[in-house]
Amino acid sequence: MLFLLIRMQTLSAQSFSAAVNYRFCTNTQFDQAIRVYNSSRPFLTNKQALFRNGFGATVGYSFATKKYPKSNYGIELAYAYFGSYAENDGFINDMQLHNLTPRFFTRLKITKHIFGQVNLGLPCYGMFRQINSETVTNDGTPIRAFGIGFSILPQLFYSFKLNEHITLCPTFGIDYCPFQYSPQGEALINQTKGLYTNNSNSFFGFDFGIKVNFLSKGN
Amino acid sequence: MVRRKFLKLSSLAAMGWIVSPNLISCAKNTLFDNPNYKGKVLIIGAGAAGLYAGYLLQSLGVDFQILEARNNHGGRLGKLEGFANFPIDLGAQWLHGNNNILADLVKKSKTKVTNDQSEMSYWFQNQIVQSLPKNVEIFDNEGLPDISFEAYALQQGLGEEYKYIIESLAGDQGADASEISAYWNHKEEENWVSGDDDFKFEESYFDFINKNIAQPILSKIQLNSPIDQINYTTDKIQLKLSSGTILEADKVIVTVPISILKLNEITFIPSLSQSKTQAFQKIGMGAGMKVFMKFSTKFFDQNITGGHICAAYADDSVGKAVDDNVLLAFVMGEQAEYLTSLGNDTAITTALLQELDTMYNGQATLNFLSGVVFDWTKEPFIKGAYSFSTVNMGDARLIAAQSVDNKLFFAGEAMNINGHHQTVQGAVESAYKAVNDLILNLK
Repeated sequence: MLFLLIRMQTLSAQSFSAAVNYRFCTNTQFDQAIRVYNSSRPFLTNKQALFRNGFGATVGYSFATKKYPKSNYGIELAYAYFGSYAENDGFINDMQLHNLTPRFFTRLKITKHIFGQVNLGLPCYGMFRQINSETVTNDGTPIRAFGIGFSILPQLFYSFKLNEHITLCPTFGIDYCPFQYSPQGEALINQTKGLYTNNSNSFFGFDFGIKVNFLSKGN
Repeated sequence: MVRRKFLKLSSLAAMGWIVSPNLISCAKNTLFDNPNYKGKVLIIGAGAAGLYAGYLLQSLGVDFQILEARNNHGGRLGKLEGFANFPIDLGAQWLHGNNNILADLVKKSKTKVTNDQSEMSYWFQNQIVQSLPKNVEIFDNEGLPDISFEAYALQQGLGEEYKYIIESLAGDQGADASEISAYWNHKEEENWVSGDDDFKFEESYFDFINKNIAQPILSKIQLNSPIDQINYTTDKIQLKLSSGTILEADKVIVTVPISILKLNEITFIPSLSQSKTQAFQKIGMGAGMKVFMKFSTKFFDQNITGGHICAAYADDSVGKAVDDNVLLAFVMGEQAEYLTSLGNDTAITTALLQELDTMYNGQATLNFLSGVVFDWTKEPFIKGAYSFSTVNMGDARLIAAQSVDNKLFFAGEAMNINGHHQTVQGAVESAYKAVNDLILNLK
């Protein structure tokens, strides 16, 4: 962090970015727990949806020594939300999965308009659940699931220059997390612990969205 | 060129290996929507586990039949009507926790339940007190040794005066304090995520299971059909009933109480492995009895813990829509064995009334109207209360619950490996696990 702060002082072309995106995701542990939840309760005719489709937003900051560099690097903070909801005769089971991923990225200019970017992230998640609008508890304490892992996200984006300071970029990326420590996922989703899954999750998905880059200064 | 092709193929294979578990998981949101299995499954036992296994198989369109040794279904769930102005739960009574399959079914079916928040009193040094001088909640601590509750309580300075308080804590676990392991009991309970509130059914637990799980599969239950022998030597498993009838099945789910397996009352051909039979022996199963006493007035507290004849009494009307003066004596372990040894129901009730007279200045005998004794240990196809964790138990439950040759599957509260053993929801979860193993291993 200190290195980045010092480095920022020496850079002459910084840019800020903000993006919104759609995310499609598959999770080994969460999917398994939801499938077990669904198949172990035949009385629930409306099945619990998997955490598949999510929406997110990203803010980032990139460092560069000139305005249109061939390569540069930066940091991003990405947030995504996934929901799973099912209602059965007034029995409402509502689960929310929040992902927050701080990332470091390096970006490479491939052609005049096309850029490639590789992000290395620490995906953190928080999962919450309510039954009939009441938070699920154990011994009076809300059951919440938190976890952390590491991920790699290669991205491609096409850059449209709107003016000297703003570019607009449609983006596409593939997100892979080989390991996420996830000790409470099964407990929250299926109300069992260590029966059908272990303490780890992995996920694979893709996202596409729109990113806006703001060039703050240049030489 | 060859090298480039090799690198390309290797990269694709690596990528495939990385993402395949995720992509496979894309397909569906239940584990087994339509197994399309044409074989026949026989389930032994129509207790909670057997009923739920049948209920699951029915939902999957699998052909099955449940063989029950007794003349009614429900296993260790039972109901008595007419004794009080509410139905009496002869067996399992409390839904433990709000987060489990059955709690979901309660909510979905809008079954009326009440959180049992009855107050605790103690019979301690010959008087009823509302609190104890020393903390007895010592079995939730970290780093417990693999010794009995009784031995650990003594180590912690809870002497002879706490003997029956400790017995009541062990009795909650279906055990005698000298037999249950402090370490293994705690280790298994670490996986408990069901919640700590206890819920009572306004009707009865039996009614709830009967209405929601048993009724849809009632035609598949064959009563009065005890099994003597299971021969799984060939592809078709042969089951020999006590009547001599032979039935055939492709898969068998055994859900009888662990006591029946411990006593080798079912012969397996070929014999089960030594590790499995040893695992059965390591799982504890104590004596258990419920005695219901009806009085003309309610002179007793909601819970009385620490009796020398019965370590746990409870007001049975708690959670019911109507309020009769019924006191439950929940007798476990050595205390149950002692009462059984008295020989008849009158002697058992008299012994309990004498103890209550001591606690409440003779009011018990004075107000006593009638009593019912239900001795689960004397039930020929049950023979006990529920399983508990013994000293040196290790992973006995895990071994006991493992399937054999992909033909025999085991379920029941004692086979629950996720901390919910001793409970009806634990039995139901084990049934799901057995059906899950059966279906997923078909190919």
